[in-house]
Amino acid sequence: MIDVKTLTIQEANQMLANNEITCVELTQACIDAIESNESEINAFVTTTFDLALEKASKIDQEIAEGHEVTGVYGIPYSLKDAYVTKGIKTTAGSKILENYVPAYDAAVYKKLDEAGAILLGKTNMDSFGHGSSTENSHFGVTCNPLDTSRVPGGSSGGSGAAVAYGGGLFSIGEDTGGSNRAPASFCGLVGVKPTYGLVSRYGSIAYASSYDTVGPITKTIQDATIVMDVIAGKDDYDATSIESDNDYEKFINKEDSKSKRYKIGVPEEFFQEGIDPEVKKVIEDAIEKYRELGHEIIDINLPYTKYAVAAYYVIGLSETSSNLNRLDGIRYGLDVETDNWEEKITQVRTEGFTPETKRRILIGTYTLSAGFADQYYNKAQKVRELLKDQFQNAFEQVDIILTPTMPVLPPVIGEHDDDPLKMWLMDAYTCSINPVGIPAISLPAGSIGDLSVGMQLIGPMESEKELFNLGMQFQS
Amino acid sequence: MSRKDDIAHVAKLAKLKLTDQELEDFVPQIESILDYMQVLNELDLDLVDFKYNSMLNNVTRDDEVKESLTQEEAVSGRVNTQTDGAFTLNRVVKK
Repeated sequence: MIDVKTLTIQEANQMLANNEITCVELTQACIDAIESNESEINAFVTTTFDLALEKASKIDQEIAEGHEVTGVYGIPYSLKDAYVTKGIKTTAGSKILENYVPAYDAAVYKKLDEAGAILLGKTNMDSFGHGSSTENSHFGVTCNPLDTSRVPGGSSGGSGAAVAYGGGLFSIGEDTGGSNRAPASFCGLVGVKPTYGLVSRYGSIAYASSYDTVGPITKTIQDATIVMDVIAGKDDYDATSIESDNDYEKFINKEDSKSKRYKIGVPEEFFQEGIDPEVKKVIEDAIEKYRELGHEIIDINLPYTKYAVAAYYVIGLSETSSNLNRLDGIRYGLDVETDNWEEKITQVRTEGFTPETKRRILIGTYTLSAGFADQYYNKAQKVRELLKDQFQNAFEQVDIILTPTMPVLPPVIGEHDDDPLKMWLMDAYTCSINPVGIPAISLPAGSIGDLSVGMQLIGPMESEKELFNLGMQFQS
Repeated sequence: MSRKDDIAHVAKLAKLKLTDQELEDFVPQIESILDYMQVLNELDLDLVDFKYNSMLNNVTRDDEVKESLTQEEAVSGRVNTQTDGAFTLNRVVKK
């Protein structure tokens, strides 16, 4: 019996290499987990079990013929439904794309597919990434496997929930303001928001193009490095993508890395009002553990934190209102019968978007519109420069910044239905990172009852190796 | 114009038809969010340069033909409303 709920990629690699399990057995174990959990959790929008088993059996044959088992080869996983997959329905959690079958593959899917990973299905998400709880999907709420009365975080909540219950050994989410880190924190996992451009966005359905990043959700830091080694790097189809040497796993396992000690900055602003005292205690204990390991803990200030959420949302919603203009029902997606052009577009968008997406489009259209752009959008872009300066200054003092990932424990489903602003403020610790472009990861810091608390490690541009290394030291 | 009028106006720009009930619900929510965003006014930003996105550089490549979607694939999202590899649309101008 394979316990896919706790099995890591690293362990599965060894079991496959030693012929302790076959890839078909491993894939079937994940499928069984999905079938027994889905009625309660609702992590998947679409499953691709036939394709998965077919590929698994091909991989078993290759292994028998001597194919090396390494990386994600033979590892079942899920993909957030924000990535286009040729011939497989891709919805972005929305009604407007409910029956959309793309004609091409996203870069991240292609890379994983070629590396031998096995797709189990596409995971649920807040429609177009608009949310922190996965309550804003056209396909229903996803529940947190640690406590099904609570949200799994979002917007990659389906990805977090699936990994937490064993519906695949990892998932690929998209992080625009915390969408990988929030589910990681709430579901007791590792979530990666890489440096902007480190993983190609080609074929990812955009939320806010200057924030969007592609990264894994895994059970361990080690597993996150294994996935990053496959997906990171320059791509001709994404002009914002950057080079990467892809030796993340190797780096964290070097003796020099294990003994490396860091200057860790702890920003006062992240421990003030709004934080749950129990969450605060867990993070303080984690800081203490780092101190005991010999790292230097330095109190720092990030004075513009107070303005980060407002600036994040002004720019993000401006971009999303612009990005979603392409959804007009003409070339793909929801269609309606009418003989009037204007009416057709309006009807498709009115029927196809969730209330939260409409709210965000309205605000973004407002903040970009003539007469208001100076007051909102242009101002927010200037604040974005201040946020960049603030982090740059901090990284002259310290190597890595440590904060809570989320200020609170996962809310009960429906808790913030009437107060979107309160839900948005839950992103305060994660969303200030995306406008700056720097990387951040969330890893479990401890737990309170059945619930998990995540800590966030933030570093300068392209410092993923150091973030993984520091995270690894906590997990070893 | 009131905020309600503004929001009704941008809804039209964004091609969204709001019911009276939706407008009723959205206005106070959006109002509280826009009010929250006013926090940016506390900052003196006169000396900060405006940049659209200082992280990006322009990238160009040689103008060579590369493999891409076939015409058939490109229009495959609309099975019912395409003719000869093109989308069939409603008339935009009057006869």
